[in-house]
Amino acid sequence: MQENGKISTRQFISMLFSLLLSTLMFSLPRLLIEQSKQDVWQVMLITFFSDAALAIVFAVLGMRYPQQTMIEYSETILGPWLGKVTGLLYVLFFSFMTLIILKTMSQFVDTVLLTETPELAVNFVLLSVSLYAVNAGLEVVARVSEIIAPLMLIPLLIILSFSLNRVDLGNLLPVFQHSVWELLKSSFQSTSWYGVCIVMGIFMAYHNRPKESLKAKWIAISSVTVLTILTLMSLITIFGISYSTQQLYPVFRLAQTISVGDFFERIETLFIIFQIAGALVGLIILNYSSVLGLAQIFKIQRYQTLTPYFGVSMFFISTFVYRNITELQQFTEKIFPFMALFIEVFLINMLLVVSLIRHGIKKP
Amino acid sequence: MLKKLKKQRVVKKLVPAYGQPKADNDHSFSSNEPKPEEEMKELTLSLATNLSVLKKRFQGSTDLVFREFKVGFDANKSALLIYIDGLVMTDLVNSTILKHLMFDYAREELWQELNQHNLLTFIRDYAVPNNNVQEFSQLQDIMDSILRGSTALILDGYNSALIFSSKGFDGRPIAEPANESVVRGPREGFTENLGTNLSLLRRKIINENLIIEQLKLGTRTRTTVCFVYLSRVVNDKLVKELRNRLQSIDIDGILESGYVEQLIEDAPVSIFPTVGNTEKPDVLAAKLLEGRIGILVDGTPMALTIPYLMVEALQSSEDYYARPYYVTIVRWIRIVSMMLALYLPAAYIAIQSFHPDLIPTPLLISMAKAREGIPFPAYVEVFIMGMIFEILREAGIRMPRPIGQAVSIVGGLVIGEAASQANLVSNTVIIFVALTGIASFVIPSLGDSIPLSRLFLMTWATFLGIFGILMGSLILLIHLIKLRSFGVPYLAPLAPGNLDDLQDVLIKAPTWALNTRPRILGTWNSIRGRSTKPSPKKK
Repeated sequence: MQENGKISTRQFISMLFSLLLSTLMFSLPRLLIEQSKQDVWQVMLITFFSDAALAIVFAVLGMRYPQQTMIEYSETILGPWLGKVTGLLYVLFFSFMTLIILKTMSQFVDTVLLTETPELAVNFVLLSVSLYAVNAGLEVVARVSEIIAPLMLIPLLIILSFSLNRVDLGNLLPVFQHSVWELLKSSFQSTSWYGVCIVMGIFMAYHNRPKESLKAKWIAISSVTVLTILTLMSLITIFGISYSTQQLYPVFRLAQTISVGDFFERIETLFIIFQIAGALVGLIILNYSSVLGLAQIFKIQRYQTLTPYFGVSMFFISTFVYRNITELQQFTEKIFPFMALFIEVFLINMLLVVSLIRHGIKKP
Repeated sequence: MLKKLKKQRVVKKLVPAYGQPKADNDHSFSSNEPKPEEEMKELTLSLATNLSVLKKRFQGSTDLVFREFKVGFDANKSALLIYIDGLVMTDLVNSTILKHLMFDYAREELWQELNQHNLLTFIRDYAVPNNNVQEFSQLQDIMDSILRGSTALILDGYNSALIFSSKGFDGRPIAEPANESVVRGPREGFTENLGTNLSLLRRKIINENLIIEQLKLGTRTRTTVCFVYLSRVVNDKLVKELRNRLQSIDIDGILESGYVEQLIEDAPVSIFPTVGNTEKPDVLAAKLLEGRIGILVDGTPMALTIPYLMVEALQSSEDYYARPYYVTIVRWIRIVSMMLALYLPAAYIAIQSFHPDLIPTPLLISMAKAREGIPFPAYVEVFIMGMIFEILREAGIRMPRPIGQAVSIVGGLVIGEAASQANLVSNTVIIFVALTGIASFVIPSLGDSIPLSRLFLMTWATFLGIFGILMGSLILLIHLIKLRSFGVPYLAPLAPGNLDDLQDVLIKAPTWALNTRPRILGTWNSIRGRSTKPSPKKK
């Protein structure tokens, strides 16, 4: 066993919550609003239901192979070689997500906070801090997210409630301008981002009540969905479609415009702080999943020995991919969904089918 | 690194409490001292030999009194009384031991009657009225008792000695502790005398389940160290773990409980304390009732409590004596003060040198005005002022009382007023540093970790601004989450979260609602009581 820790249901929820919410709040709102305009809430609902359905697959697999992470049970299902390849695909996906979140964060920091600091330094600090937590073990990772997750709510709730006075419901029109097919197509984008929750397949093995994992994931994604829809709707009603899509970080912009009674201003500081903290938790979780997965593929007893190598390679790769924001955004818009959906949806369903065939429907 | 240290602790051979000296562990005969060629371990039958051996073992210390006399009712019997002048009550030795042995013929008939009996037994059982008499034959035990203030009686022809308790030395009376003053609640504090301290505690918790275990630590000082707990409340594993850790202590001297603290900590390389301390018996009693263990060391008024969690720093004994509503506000004031003490200087540095845009314009303008003409960058300014504050604080503690006034004049007037008039530091910085200083006094138990963490955050702020502060605080947070005190997560009940326990952390629930012990301690019995909200009885 590479990891002996156990996590509680509350920690499970807060891990998924902070991971998902922090990834959704950077530049994704811009992309979503651009694609489906006022109908974005329908897209989010579709996304929610498809991800909730995906969670069932993970829960079933997790129950069939208790105490095994997705990396381990793909080996049990597909045999040593094919299983290792599948596991490696997952690990690659996690490291890829790590890279994307790392770049997103450092670009956000470089845009709004430290305009003259080289991105390299920011990357280095972010990676070091997250790997420090990763090496401390799963329980520390879970507890960090348990503390940060409620804190992430504070700025969001302040932003949402103090911008209520500027809501213009007229901006919500027209509704239902897209056909179902169009909605489905644009929900690819958000589903691929929601799909990062497949880390559930890792953490379910360490959940102290695995029967509650499914419920926990549903709670996490439903609360994130509600918050995201509220945020998207207030962006649309306050800024309108065109202004929202012009902004690089629309939620940040929304926070900037809040001013109550001439003294309650600069909420964006709060937003920046907790947004980065939340994204760092996401980074920690993804880093942890990649390193642990890697250790499980190669059967290394202490995953901690891999962390420095992983960190150094991430750091070097981060220096030459996505040199600027546009490149990253082009990638997330055009290529990322297909790649992510292949890993998130296709692979796991294939695992389920093979498992049903090989081990029978009534596996103990 | 930590794990290695922990392992060593377990693997280390248990060093016995003094009493059964082991040749390899007893440092009293280290290589540079001449080892007695034939070490005598027990008394002999000859009094003269015993006397010379004891004199030799005490190496002519002048405060040792060897009183030779003849036992009254058996004029041929020589006897020897040994005690240390100043450690015993002379009156008691004269009137209850010497008088009875030399003069008291009243019982001579009895002695004749019981002539078959051992004289030593006779003295112990009939002749000398003393509340605590022990019989030892091991030389080491006898010497140890003498050193602790007992009086030893050795009779010619017997190879064991009687030890009469005769302790009597001066100590500080029970007084109000200077460090933990309260408005409401008991004023008594622990003293340097272990016996007094234990009696104070016994008077608080009148229960046979209050267990006091005793060890003697320190190969040279042989200090008595006690740990107290409530059995049937405390987690037994915790007691076992503490006992192991205490027994594996191998040091020449324990002069204060701080020695013990540093030798049993979980995280010796962390800046945060994982062992608590208190000077007040009521606080210690409350901690015992919660299922913790207290450690009392002879010679110091500071009692240790384990396990110690971060949230205990935010609680004070008075919180439980006063009504709960204002206490909740006070708790939050403490939390805010902690945040101020941690973040204020760092935030100032970050805003001045990286993000002047993050604060509202009027504030920015007034701050910029104050900084006009200051030659240093913000971080130099803050570091210098912080340094000066620490110097003043240290001087305030160490200086002899009569010079106090001079220091406060220099500190307050010259450094504060003149430095800002001479445009060396801005007024804003003086205000911030002063506020930081005051705020850090609100939480005295973290008094040494907060300044260090502040310095850490200030360094981050100097290099990376707000982002740096955030990263610095996350590192601190991860570190705190990693810490454990005797197996209990340091940040509990915040992480791992427990809503039941939080009602004594973020708020202070009324006493009738606090019916459970902290769950995280894994106590044997987590129910404190079943009180309900009081209400007048309906007829």
